Amino acid sequence: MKRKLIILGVFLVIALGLMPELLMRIGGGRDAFTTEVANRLQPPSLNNLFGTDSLGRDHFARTMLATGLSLKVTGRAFVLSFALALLLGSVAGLSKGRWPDHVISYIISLIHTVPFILLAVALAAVFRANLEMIYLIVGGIAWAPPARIVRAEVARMREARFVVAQKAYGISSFSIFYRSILPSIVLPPFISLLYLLPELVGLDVGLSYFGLGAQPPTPTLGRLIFDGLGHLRTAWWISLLPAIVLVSFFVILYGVLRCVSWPIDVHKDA
Amino acid sequence: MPWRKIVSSIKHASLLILGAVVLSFILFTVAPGDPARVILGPQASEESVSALRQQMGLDRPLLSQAAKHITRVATLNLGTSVGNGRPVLGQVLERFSITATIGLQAALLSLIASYFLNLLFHRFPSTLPALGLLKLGVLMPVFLLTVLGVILVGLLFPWVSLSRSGSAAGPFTQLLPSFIASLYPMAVMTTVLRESIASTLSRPSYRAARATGMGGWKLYHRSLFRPSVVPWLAAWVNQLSMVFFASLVLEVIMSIPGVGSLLLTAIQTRDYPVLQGLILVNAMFFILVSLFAEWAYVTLDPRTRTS
Repeated sequence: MKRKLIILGVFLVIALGLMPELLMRIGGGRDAFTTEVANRLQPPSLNNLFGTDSLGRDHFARTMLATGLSLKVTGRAFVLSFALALLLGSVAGLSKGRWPDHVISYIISLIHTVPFILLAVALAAVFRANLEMIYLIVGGIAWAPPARIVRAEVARMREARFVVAQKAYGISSFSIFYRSILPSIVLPPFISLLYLLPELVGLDVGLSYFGLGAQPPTPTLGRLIFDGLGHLRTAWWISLLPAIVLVSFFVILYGVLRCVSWPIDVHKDA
Repeated sequence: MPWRKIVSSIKHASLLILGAVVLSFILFTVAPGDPARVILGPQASEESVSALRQQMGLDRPLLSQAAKHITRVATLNLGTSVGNGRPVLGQVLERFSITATIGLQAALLSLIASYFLNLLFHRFPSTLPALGLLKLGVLMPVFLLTVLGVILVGLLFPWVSLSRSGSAAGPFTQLLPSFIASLYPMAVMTTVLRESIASTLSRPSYRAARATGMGGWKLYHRSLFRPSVVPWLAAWVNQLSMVFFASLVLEVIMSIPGVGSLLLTAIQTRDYPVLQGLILVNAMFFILVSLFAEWAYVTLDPRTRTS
């Protein structure tokens, strides 16, 4: 169990921490922003692996930069919402039936009453969020579903026999929670959040459509794909290639996760 | 169903509605920028802005503003749009009905499909690998599925028009968005039902039912399907919000005039009353749905009555 968690953690740090940086280095050169109008809307070739966009910019560099940026924002949102879910979910679960539980459960239900994208768009519009702030908004919303799972699990574990036995033995409640309960409940909310990841990236597309989030010329995956939709018939590579990059990232991510930490049960509470 | 439970769930729902109203008030009060200035534009004189502030009640203390906001919402008066001066509620409901149609169609489709898929898996266990294929749908963000769907339809059925305007709109234009939006919940719900049925297979109740000589359809429905109804429906209700997320994204890509496009104009013109109305109508809808779902569980499964 513990080893699994460590492997998972290391893997995620690589996927959401190091890889975005690397991708941004690859795409971050001058190429991504140099316009060359004579060379616009060229299909993929050896010179421009992913073709060029409507302003003649190298689409490969832009895609790499965009993937890096999007994953960075998503990674931050992931960490933030996971931390919030663990913290608030545990507090609610430990105080089940008393006021902290009532307050937190109420907030969770309240977030659940409005579709995520509507809430995210409204918040981003009202606060005129830039790319740096988006993760705060996304993370501040996405913690609610996993927190519900954490709350239920903690409340269930609190009544488990071995916990009651430890209590009778005189071990402090904090160390029971930290040593016994926490390690055994980490996985389910983690997995449920992981399966929300593609939609978190999808949120970026939604925000791009509404003119929120990253502003041109900064590319994010959402921006690239969305801007490319207008050229879909004449220049398919603009939106399709970034989309393929995105999907292959998730296929590889989940594939590795499956190998590393099986069995993880996926959709119980997704 | 016991009265006490009905009362407590209604109390919970109304608390949530109140919360949504207060939240929408707070959100647009702390928003940077002066609403009166936003409405009148940057060229307006200082006097006219302060006159409008007075007219809108923005100069009064916050608590009295909040009280006024709540009483206004309670009488279903969501104000008028800053952009076109029409009442907000009518506009929002008109668009919301389009989104809700796509969403509910998709939700129903996923419910029915997951039922029949599980029937298939049960009768012919060799088809189980298809579940893995379905799970692939989860990997793809909705917008991608939409784009792929549109491209695929364009290639395979070039004569089908996906445009909504004019006489060209047919049943296909209605169903494609719903089908795409239903893929994600379909995958999730099929898995949930499958897992629940698989865990029931090893229970003594199932073996006892088999020992009585029951078989075929009756056995499946009585001792496998029935105990799994509640987790299945619970997953369905959770997926509803996902379906609405999907249909918002879909609308944007396929340019269907639902909530998505109203949201777009509301944001571009900083039309806060419309934004507020959108959030409130959506919240109301989901609170009512979860209220009904709670009643449905208790009616369908006797085991939930005691807890």
